[in-house]
Amino acid sequence: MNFGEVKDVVREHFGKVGWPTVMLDLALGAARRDIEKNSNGGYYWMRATKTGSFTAAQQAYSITTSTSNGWNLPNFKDVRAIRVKESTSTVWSDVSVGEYTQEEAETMFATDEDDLPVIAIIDNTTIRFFPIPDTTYNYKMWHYEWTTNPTTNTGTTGTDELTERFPEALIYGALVWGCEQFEKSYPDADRWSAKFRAEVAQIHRHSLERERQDRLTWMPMAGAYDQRRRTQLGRSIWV
Amino acid sequence: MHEVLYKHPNDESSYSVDFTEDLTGDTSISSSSVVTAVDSGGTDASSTIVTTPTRSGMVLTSILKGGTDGEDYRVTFTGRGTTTSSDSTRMVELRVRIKGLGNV
Repeated sequence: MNFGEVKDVVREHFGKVGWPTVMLDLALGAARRDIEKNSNGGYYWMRATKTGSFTAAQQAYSITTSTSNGWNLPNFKDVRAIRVKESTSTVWSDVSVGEYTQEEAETMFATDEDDLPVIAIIDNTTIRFFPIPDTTYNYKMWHYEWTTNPTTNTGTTGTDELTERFPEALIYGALVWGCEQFEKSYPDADRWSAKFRAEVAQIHRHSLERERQDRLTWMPMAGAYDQRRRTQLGRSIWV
Repeated sequence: MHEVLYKHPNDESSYSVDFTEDLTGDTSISSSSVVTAVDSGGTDASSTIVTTPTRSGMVLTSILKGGTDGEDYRVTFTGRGTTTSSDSTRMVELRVRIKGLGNV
């Protein structure tokens, strides 16, 4: 379905002309957020990458804005992995993210220690690197971003993965919103809510299946291969 | 709430707005009165959706035409009083559909 067709299906439940389009857009926006909030990290259509270079001697960067060399990712949701390399190198190194807290990292490195970063800490919308980058290393981040509904009803900008593959989730989510906020019909809202949850569960299973194929690696915590555990994403299962 | 109209892409129909009740200090609307249209993405679609309006006293009329199947357009009629130069606007949501109107 394109986004216009999704809107039309929802409209049919409220008498076609009974619900202002601006409110319908809000309902569908709420439905999408409800779907994406249910993901553990993010769903496959939320994947994105960001590449760039550090600024020498700058430890902290805004993730969501471009202020002070910020990474300007206003829809950032969660990180998947970060790699760094020297600008002349062809080999990426792993940066550990999500494994240490900032208070731990600050006791592990001197306040003026600078080198190729090995640890990243995400604190609210700021990302900090330890040790402090001493030169303009390249970085690449794999992450998830919140998505928004298509900006048009039709054409190439009127569809995305969610409207194409899981339009029912958007529809049911908007109906829950409409029955609660617009119709004040709570039994109907409960009925659509049950169908919405079932759709989200299907999305969850489908996305998890894709994650297993694309990313998840089962590795022993100790013994053979344990040194490769962090750097061999996408390798065969070795347990 | 503004009016909602459904039309086939091939249909052309006249739509008029009477500003008598909105612009009480005027007896006619000026040539500055306009009719514009934007699509669901906010892009101006005036040239394909509406014709240059005609005026008669306090009534502003335009032909609603064309459009892309599945698209929603917001058509804005802006009447400007000749005496007061005050503006008044009315909006129409124009939904262009083929199958929704019973066509196979």
